[in-house]
Amino acid sequence: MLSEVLMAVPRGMVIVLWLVLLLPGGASADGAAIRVNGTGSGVVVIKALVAAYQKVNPAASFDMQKSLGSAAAIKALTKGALDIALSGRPLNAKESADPLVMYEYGRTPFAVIANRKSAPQNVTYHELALLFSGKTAVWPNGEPVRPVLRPQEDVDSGIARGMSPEMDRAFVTAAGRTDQVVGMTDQDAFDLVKTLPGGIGLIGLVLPLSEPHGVKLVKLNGVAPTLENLSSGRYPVYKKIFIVTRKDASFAVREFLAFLNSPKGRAVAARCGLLTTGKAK
Amino acid sequence: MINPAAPIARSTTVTVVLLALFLALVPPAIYFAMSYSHMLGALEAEGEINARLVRGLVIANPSLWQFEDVRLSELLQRRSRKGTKEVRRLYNLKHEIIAESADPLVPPLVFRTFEIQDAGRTVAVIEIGRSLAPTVSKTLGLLGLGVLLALVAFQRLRTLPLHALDEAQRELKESEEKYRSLYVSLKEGVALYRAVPREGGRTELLLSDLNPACEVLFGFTRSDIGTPIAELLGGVFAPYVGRITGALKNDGAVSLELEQGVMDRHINLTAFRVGAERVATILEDVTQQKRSAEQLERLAFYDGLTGLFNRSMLLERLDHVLAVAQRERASVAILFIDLDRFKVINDTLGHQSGDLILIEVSRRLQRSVRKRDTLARLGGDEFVAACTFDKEESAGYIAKNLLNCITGIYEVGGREVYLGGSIGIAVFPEDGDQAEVLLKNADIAMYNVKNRGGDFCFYSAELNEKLHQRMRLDFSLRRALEKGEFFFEYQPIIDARSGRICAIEALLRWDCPERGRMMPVNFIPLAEETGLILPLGEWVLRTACAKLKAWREAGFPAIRMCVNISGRQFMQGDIYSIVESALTENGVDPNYLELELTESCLIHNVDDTIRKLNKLKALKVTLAIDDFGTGYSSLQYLKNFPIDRLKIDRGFVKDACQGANHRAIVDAVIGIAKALDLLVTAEGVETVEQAESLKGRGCDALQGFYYYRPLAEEPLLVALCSQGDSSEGNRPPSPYLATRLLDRN
Repeated sequence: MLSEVLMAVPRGMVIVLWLVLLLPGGASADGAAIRVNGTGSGVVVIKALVAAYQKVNPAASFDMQKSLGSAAAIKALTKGALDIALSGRPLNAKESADPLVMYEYGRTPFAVIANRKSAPQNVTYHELALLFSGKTAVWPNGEPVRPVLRPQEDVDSGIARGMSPEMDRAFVTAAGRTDQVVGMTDQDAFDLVKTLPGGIGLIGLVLPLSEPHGVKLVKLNGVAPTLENLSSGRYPVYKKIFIVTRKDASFAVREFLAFLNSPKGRAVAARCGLLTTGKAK
Repeated sequence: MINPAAPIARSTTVTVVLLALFLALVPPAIYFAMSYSHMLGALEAEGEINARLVRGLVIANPSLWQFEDVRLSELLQRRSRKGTKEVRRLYNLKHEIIAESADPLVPPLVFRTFEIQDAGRTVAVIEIGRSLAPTVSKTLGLLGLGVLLALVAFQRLRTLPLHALDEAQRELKESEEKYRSLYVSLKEGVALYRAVPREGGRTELLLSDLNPACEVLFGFTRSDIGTPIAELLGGVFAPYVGRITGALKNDGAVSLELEQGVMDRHINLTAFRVGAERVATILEDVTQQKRSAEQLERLAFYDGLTGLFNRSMLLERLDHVLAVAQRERASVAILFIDLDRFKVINDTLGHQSGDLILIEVSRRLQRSVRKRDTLARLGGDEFVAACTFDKEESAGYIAKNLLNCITGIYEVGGREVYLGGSIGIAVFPEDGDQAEVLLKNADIAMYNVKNRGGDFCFYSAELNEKLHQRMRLDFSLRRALEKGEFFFEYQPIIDARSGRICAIEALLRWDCPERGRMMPVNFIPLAEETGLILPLGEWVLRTACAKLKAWREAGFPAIRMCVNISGRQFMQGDIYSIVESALTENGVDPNYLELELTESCLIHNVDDTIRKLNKLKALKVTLAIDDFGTGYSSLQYLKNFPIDRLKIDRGFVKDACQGANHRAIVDAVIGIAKALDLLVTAEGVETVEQAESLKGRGCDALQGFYYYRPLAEEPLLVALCSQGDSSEGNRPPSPYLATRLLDRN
C-alpha cells in the first residue's frame, strides 16, 4: 500500500519528503506540533515567523492559541503545556529556579495608540499623564477621553508606569476609576482602542503594525515609534520580548529557535516591528 | 384566699413577656434575615458577573486558561463595590486554587459557588465569600437595643399595669373593708335578697345576707338565709312583699313603715335594687324616734307638767274654735284663770308641792269643762279655758263653775292648803275676733279681778284703759328718774327718853308734772313690778347719803337717816355694792345710815339673806325691820339676822291703847326686842296717849304725826337746828344755819 502511494507521487517529491524526514532536528521528528504562546506582541511576531519558517520547513507544525500572556505562558512552559513561551519580561526568581532557558529576542517600541477619530499627532509625558489620570477628560474634537488600561500585574502596566513618576501616579489614579476600561490581553487592548471612540492606550508596536489602519500611532514627545528611532535611541520606551524554552527543548524547537535568530528570521521580526537583540546565528 | 388579680397578673406577665421577646428578638431577627438575604443576593449577582468574565477567558483558551492566574486574579478583583470585602477563588475541577482575590475576613463566612462551563461541561468553579461578622455584630447590637427596649417595655407594660392593678385592688379592698365595717357596724339592719323567678312570672325574694344589726336588733338569724322574705320574722314583711319586690323594677328606693307588733316597734324599711337580681333592705328601728317625735310634739304643744295644751296649741286651737264659732254664729268665752296666792305656796312649800297642786288643779279643771271646750296652761299658775256658750250669763256660770271646782283644800306633802282663783273673761266676738286679742283681754280682766278682788270679771273697755294708764305710769316713772322728779320728805323720829329728834326717815315723793305730787303707794308697786325699783332704789340710797354729806358739810348736827329698801331691790340688786359706794363717795359715817327692810323680803332664801345682811352689817350701817308684826314675824330670823332695830307697824300702835290684844302684841314685840338686845321704834304715833303708852312700855323711839308729819328739807333742818345738838351742850339750834343751807341748795 505504501508502495502504491509512493508510486502515485512524482519521484522528485518523494526524494524531498524523505530528505525532510531525515533532516536532523526536524520539527516533526517526534511528530508533535511546537506549542508556542505568550505575550500578545510576541505572539503576533511569532505568527509571522512561523509562517516564514513553515515556508522553509513545511513539515513543521505549530500549536498557537490565543495569547496567554507572559506569566501564564511561562507557567504553562514549566508545566510542559508549551514548548516556547514568549515573555514580555525576564524570569523572576521563582521561575528561574525551573529548568528554563531564556534570552531576549528583541525589543519593540512601546507606542501610544489612539482611536483614529480623535487621535492627536503627538503627546508629551505630561499630556499622557493628564489623559490617563482623567484630568484631561475631553479630546480637542469634543470626544471623551477613554484610557484603556492593562491588568495591573501585566508587563505593559509596569512599562507604562515606569515612563515617568507622573505616569505612575496617573495609572494609580486611573486604576481607581470606576469607569476604567481594561484590556486583558494585548489584542484586547488594541481592539478596545480601535473601537472605542476617544480611546487611547500603550502597546508594543508589533500589534499596530499587524493591522496598519486599525489605530493611529501617536508621537511621544515628538518622536514617532519606529524601529529606527528605537534603534537610534531617540524613542525611549520599548517592550522587550523574551523567548523562554525548557532546557530539554526538542530538536524541532531548537531548529525553530535557530530560524528565529537567522537573518531571515530577524528580518521577518523587524518587519513585524521587533528590533531583534538576541544572539545571531 | 384566691387573689382575683392573680390571673390578670399572670396573663399580663405572659403577654408582656411575649411582647418583650418580640421587641427583643424580632427586629434583630428581621435585620439579620434581610441582611443575610441581601448578602446572598449580592453574592449571587457578583458571582454571576464574575463567572461570566472568567468564562470569557476560559473559553478563549480552553486548554491553557489555567495558567492565566494573573489575568484571572485581575478578573476576580473586579468588584462592583470597592468597599465590600470578599474572598473570591477560582478552583479547577481538582479543587486547586487557580486564582484568588481574598480580602481578610472575620468569620463566620458565607460562600456561594458558581460553575464555569465550557462546551456543556464544568471546567472550573468560582467561590465567592463574604464575612457575616458585620451583620452578626449589628444584629447583636440590635439585639442589645431590643433587650433594652424589651426591659423598658416589660417594666412599663407589666409593672405599671400591675402596680395600677395592685393599687386598684388595694383601694377596692380598703373600700370593701370600709363598707364591710360600715355594713357590719351599721345600727340599721341591712339585708340582701336574691330575686328568684317562680311560676306564673312571680318573683320571690330569698334572704342571701344580713348584717349583725339584723340579728341583734330585729331578730333575724343566720339560718334565715335562703328563706323567702314573706316568711321572715313571723311574716312581718308579708303584706309588703309586692312593694318590696317592686324595687327590682325601680331605680329609686321604696320606703315603708311597718310595725313589729310582737315587739311593739316601728320599723322603717327602705328597699332598693342592687344590681339586676338583688334587692337590699335597710331596716331602721324608729320606735324611739317616733316616741321622741311624739314627746317633742307634746313638748311643743302640750304643757309638760299637766298635759294640757300649752300657749302655742291653745292659740292654734282657738283659731279653729273661733272659726267654727264664727261660722255657727256662736259665742266663745275665753276664761283666764289665775290661782290666788299660789306664789306664796310655791315659796313656802317648794316648787315640787306647787307642781303637785298645779296638776291637781288641771285635773279639776278638766273634770269641769266640756269635751268640746279647750283647756290650756299658759305657765305658772295661769290656765285658760275656751268655752262656747249661747247666752252671756252662761259665761259667768262657766266661770263660777270653774272657780267652785278649783277653790278648796289641797293636800300636799301631808299638809292641807287652801287655794282659790280669779278668772278674767273675754268674749268672742264682742271683745275681739283674734285669739291673741281675746287672750290679752281676758288677761286684763283677770288682772282687774286681782286688783279689785272678787271671783271673776268680764273684760271691758275701761279695763283696757286702766291697763293703758298703768303703761303710761310706767313710762312716766322712767322719765321721772331721768329728769329728777323724785324728792324726799323727812319724818323725824323722836327718842322716847329725851324727846329729841334722834333720826329721820327719808320718804320718797314724786313730783309728777301730769298728776302732781305722788305718794309711794301709787308708784312703788308698779316700779317693783317693772323692775324700775332697782335704779330708783339706788337713786334713793345715793341721794340720802348725798344729803347727809351736804348737811354735815353745812354744819348741821349729824343725824341718822332711815332709808326704806324694797324687797326686790334687796333680793335682786347688788345692795351691798350700792350702799358701800354711796357711803364711800359721800364720806358718810355708816352709823348714820339705817336700812329698813320689810319682813317679806327677808324670808326668801334665808341663807342668801343672812349673807347679804352680814355683809351690810360689816359696813357698820344699822339694819331695821319695818312694819314688824304684819308678816311672818319669825323669831328664828330675829335670832339669825344681824338686826339692830324693830319698827312696830302702825296698825298695832293705833290700837295699842284700846285693844288688849294689840297691847299684848306690842308688849310681846318690845319684850322680844329687849330680850334680843334690839331697839324698838313705834310707827304711826298720833296721840299723846299712844306716845305715853309706848314710852311706858319701853319703846326706844317714836315716830308719827303726833310729833312730826313728813317735812320738806327746809322745815326739817329748821327743826333739827331748833332742838340743837345734844353733843354741844344743848345749845339752841341756829335757824340762821338752816336758812343759809337752804339758800345754798
